[in-house]
Amino acid sequence: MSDYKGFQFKTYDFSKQLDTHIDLIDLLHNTIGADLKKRPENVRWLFEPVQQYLDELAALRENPDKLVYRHFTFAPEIVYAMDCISYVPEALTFMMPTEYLCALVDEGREMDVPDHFCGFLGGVTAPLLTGRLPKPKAILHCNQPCDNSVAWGSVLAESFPDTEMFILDNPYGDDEEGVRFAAEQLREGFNYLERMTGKRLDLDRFREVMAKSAEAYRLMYEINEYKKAIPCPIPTSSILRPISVAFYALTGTEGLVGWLEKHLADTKERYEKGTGGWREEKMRVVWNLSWPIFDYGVYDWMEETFGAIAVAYHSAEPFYQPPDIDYGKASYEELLRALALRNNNHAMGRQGRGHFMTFVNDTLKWCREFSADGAIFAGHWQCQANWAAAQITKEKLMEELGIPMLIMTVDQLDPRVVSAEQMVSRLEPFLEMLAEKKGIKP
Amino acid sequence: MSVLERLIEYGESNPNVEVEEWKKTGNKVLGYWCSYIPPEIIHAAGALPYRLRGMGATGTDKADHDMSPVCNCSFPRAVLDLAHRGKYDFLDGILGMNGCDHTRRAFELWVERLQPTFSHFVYVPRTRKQVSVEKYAQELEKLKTGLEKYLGTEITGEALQQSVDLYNDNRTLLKQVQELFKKDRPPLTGTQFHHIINASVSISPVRLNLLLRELLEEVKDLDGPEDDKARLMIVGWVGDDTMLHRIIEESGGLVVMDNCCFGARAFWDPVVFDSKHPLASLGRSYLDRTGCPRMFATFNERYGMFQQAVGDYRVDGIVRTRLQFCDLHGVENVFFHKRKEQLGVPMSAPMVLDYIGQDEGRVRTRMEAFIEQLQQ
Amino acid sequence: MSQPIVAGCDVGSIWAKAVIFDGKEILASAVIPSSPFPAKTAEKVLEKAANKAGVSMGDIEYVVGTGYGRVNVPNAKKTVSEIACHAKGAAWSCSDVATLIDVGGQDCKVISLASDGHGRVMDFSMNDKCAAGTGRFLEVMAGVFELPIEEFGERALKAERILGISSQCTVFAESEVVCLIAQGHEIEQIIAGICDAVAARVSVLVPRVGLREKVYMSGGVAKNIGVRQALQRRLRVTIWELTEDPLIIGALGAAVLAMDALRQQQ
Repeated sequence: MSDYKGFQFKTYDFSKQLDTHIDLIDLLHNTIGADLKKRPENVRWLFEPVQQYLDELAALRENPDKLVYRHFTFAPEIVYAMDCISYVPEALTFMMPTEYLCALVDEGREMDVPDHFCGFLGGVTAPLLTGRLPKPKAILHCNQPCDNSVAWGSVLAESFPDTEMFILDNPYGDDEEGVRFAAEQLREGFNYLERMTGKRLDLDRFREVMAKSAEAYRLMYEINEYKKAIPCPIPTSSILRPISVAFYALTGTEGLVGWLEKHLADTKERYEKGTGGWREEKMRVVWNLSWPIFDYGVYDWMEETFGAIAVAYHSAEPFYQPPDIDYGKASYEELLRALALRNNNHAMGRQGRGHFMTFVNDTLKWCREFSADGAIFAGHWQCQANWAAAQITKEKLMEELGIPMLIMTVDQLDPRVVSAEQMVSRLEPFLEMLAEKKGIKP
Repeated sequence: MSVLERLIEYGESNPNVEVEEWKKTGNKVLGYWCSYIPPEIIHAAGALPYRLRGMGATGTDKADHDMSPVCNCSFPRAVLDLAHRGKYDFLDGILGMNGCDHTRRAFELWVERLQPTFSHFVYVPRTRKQVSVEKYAQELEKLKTGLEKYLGTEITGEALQQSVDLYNDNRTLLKQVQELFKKDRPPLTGTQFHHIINASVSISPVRLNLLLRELLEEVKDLDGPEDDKARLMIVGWVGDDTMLHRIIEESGGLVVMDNCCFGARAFWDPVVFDSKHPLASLGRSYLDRTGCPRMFATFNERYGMFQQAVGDYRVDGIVRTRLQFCDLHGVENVFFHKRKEQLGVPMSAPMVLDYIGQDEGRVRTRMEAFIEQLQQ
Repeated sequence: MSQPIVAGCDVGSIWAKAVIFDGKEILASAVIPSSPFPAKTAEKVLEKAANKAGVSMGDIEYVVGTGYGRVNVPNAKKTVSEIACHAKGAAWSCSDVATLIDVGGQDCKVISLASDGHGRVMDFSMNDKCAAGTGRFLEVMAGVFELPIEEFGERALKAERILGISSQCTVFAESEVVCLIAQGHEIEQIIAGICDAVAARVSVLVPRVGLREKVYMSGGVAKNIGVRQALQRRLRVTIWELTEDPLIIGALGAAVLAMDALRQQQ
């Protein structure tokens, strides 16, 4: 543990020879899965989405015929509608212990994976290319949010040369034409899945999945409305890991709806008490782009030292409202359109695939609506498209709302690129500046 | 000045005198990013298509205000920097596309910051699904309409057919020049040919056809100097900078083939045109050709091209490169790594380069060592 | 007792600095090289400054620590980031600082200050994770020439032209410089190129916060006349000199903040 102003940040031991050939699903069950079981009863429910996805992965053992590789910004509803299970490699890297991630990234580099390749994908490139990951029945891929995803498509093609892939061309624009384009492709996507899995699409099942997906988005929207309150009833940092898993992997399931209902009830209760989150709120920030997950202590440090609460996270807490249709009776066409809209609005994918003004406008909207004192652009150093939107976002934010934005380099997974202490060295002066502006004594 | 010298000069200049001549006639010049914007359409509209290049950039500070040197590619940054410095003021407009994340943003930022008189974005799908091919045709239709409106002209089917023919002639002739490298002692060096390719995307296709015919006439029966050069193929390089070719050839190598976008890929496959479905067939051809790694899962097509070339051009070794932060080419190094044995020729370790600011010394040392290794 | 005495201590990556301050005047300052033991370094530099000021450590009523080693400053009642300290210190030295360019050992920062003269930070930008454009970069280069770093700037001024150093990575730039030497280029011209390369990295950060005059420079590299001039040329502005040693500005700011904190406490 290293010490920073009395704060303990994680340290890592890279001297151990890790068995990277271990089954990755086992690894997750033995690490994050075991940790979840140790959490105190009263907060365990917060991590239900993580547990739910781990259970799904476990279920794959009995149902290898249901295994569909899915890119994390390809809407999972399509997989649920076909009664299959999503195997999301990016979710594996997202959840695995840091030391394993680093070892796997290094193994990839020995195979000439470029050192700037995104760790989410770079971490599973070596296992994939050496045949250590399970063989899919089908592969759903897409080209948002970044070039890494396109390159990763080539890795998948290389690894499973006999498995035909379905690749969604994500549109550039946010208009009706883009929705139609996505919908037409999703129709092909269903045909593809039918062909590959031998299953038939059950329209009622599709309706049910889309209804649950819409319900999840509606609940999230409502939670976000409460989070606009001062003080913010539930800080984003507390639910970051589950919320990412929730909206990247579980939309369309009953489990997610149930969790969001609990989450909403908890938020409401805190809102009514007016007590805020776990620590006193002195200032509010909107977190932009990438949230380093190797050490959540950074966010504790922000809250503890400055009362700086990250009230919203623009790349994982969607503010999307699904179309208001009667899902119970909706036609296939209507459902396809709803799925296309949902897919086009996928958090992170949405900002990456289009013009940089999408990124700018989303940031402006979040900062405005959540009464932010500042924004923090933590740029995962492989998010090249979003990096090229950072400075212009900063300028527009200052112009239109008069609030500053910090731009800093991070690696969401790999602390060897930017450590928690290095993040703090950028965050500290920024938060000092916000504190001085607001006349707050940290 | 010989025709070769002239072509080299055009390749080295940004812009070249042909552009100045063209402008004198009162016609417009439009800059375009990436090879998936068909210059045929621009040309059919009466404008000169000018492929955006970074040649002449001495730094990227102006572009770095918006793009990050920590993760954004140096080639589009160099192009954008030139634009900021007014070096592209001769253009009457720019056309962008989603070639890769870097060029897409560089285009958007150019439009935002410098507000050119005319700009148009072409969305190009990355797959060949029927829906995507149709989408691309629609995009080309929009491009056509946009150009017609801006230039006050109509792009007729006939004009398009003519432009397609001209560009196909360009491709055929460039391929003939390429084939000269099958000889034991090619009359041109790879560096010279790279300059010619750079020239080919920045002058009128009519002029290019004339010059290339003249060049072929002049050199086709000649032999190069009698020395034992290592015959090399470059893979993964992007951009119009000729430094790498020059260093290789100063170090005892000869670049006989490549798969670069300012390279063989640009002229490899002709456009198959159907006058009944002009834009749809044009689009289909562009998506179907041996593509850039921006197209999903197409490595094996390119690999087929290399395998063929290794035999045809008697390649002694492959120089693997990539621009720093290029994921699309970068990841292919992995696939090459896997096929080391299969291709049957030695490959260099991946050479990571910056478009601007490569330290020549490091590159030279690596290339010299690789070539020595081949010649042992 | 008339005036209370406070101190600021800035433990950087290359130098550790301390300032002893009574609210009106700098009583003394000290600079020593940093060591791998930041706590010891901090203690030493504070003691040295205290000795020069003729006060004992016990007389110092409040210490503020800053710099990379700030958490290790013994007796520090508070730690503040270098950004805030440099802004405070520069404004204390010259109240008309609008833009402060600080080039330190391992990073460079551009700070935009509020115009009220109190050293409030309006915005700032910092270099990315890269050593180009820092004091460390210059040190590595000086090592190539086996020249003392102090001579570097002067030598650059003697160059008739500036050789372009284009590598942005310190390691690559080093090999590029080695090549230039091998090719027989004049040393002054290469050094001018190195200074310009630092200025190029730093000048990119300036428009990110918006250039406002007057512009000042702090940090060890401010003493390098070659870099200063290259920056003036690139930014097309005059870069003014602070009234205090640019190396101690961070420690000075920390001392000013220590006095503020002490007064509030009382």
